[in-house]
Amino acid sequence: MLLVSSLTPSGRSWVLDSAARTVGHERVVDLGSFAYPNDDVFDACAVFDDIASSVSITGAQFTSADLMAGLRSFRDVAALVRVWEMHGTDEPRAVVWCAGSVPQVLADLESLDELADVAGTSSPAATLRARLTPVLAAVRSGDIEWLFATPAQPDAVQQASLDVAAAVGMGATVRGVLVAPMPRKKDGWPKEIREQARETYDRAVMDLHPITTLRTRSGEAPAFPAASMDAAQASTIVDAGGDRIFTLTLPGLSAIEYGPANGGDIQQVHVGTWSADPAYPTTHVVVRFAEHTVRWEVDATLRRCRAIDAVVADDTIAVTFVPVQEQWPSGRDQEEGGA
Amino acid sequence: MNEEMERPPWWLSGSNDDNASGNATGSAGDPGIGGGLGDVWSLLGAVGNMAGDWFAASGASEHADHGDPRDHPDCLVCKVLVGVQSVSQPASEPEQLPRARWLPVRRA
Repeated sequence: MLLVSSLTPSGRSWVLDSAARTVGHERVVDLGSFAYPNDDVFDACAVFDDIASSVSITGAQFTSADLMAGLRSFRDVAALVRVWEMHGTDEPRAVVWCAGSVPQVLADLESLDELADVAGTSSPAATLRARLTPVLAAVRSGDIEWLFATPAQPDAVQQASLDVAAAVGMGATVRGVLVAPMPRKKDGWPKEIREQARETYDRAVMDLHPITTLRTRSGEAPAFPAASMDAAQASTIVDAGGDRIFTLTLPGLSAIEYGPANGGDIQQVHVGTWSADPAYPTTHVVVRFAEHTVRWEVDATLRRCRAIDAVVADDTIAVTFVPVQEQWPSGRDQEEGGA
Repeated sequence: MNEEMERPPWWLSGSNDDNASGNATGSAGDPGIGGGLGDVWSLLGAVGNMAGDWFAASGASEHADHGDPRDHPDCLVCKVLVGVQSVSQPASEPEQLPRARWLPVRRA
């Protein structure tokens, strides 16, 4: 299934053209048409009421506007679940138009799945999780891909790149990014604007590498024939001092502009660690940038380590971990865990 | 004046008799601005007294001495706290998870 969205309304027709050329047909399902009449995905589950109540009680720091936006996003998640159940499994070439933010929907899908897990083993929670988990698995396996359009404008391309970084950080596969529309000489656009648009496109290609990034040419939207790949890459090495260096590459992250230096700190990319399991000091590396949060689960070795600092270089984050002695059985070499 | 304060305010009596109407518009023959404000202040005062009485009756003022909310089912505040916990932790009361620990970040 191909999720299609555009950062601005101007890109909608272009990206849908690209989607049609990519999958070979022009049928489009509108996610919005599933968002309201089919709330049974959640409304039938008491656990959603629990979640909504919990959010409204414990989330007193949120404004009502935030809460409503959150509930709208939950509805989009419900619609995605519904569309996947109806079209995704038997029609791999289904094209689904999403008017909102796909990274936001995917983030909420992930969060709701975890909340349903936390909610316990009650029947409603199990029902909800049974419907959410297959969709999340499809997102992570590439059965659900994302095709995204952004205009050839520097701020828009920057935002689009960060959206892509967030999506790949959640494990989503991105079919490609379309830069459209491009100003044409034929339409009377001056040379200066046309050149600036091409420079913006070139910048997007660099920032988003290795994700396929194409632009419209001669008024035609291109196809994206190349299959998606796992764009986010993580690895861990052990340095000479025995520290473990975890690196995570998120294509698109390099588009972020760094704020004023404050003792060398980067103000707009926050890196931290988090533990979902009280038995370990670390289970996830957390990266927060723009309005996105990426949680990347670390391997069994790093679970028994504590992070001490982080370095950001372009689209790569490096986090230094040191072993927590209490986590390593005496008499066993710490290197064994890294083998 | 004291006798008037001992009576319930007109908006609690539920009656629409002339006396009640007269009280509502201030002193008879003196419907000016000062009288109107006086009614507003007395109204606010009455609401304040009611709120105070309700607060005291609820036992909320004694809540500061309460430890585990589940041990004080008669305390309104404890009752609300238990209700909130039962909603936010609907099942097996998962262990409290720590917050993210943010790191110093350098730019390469």
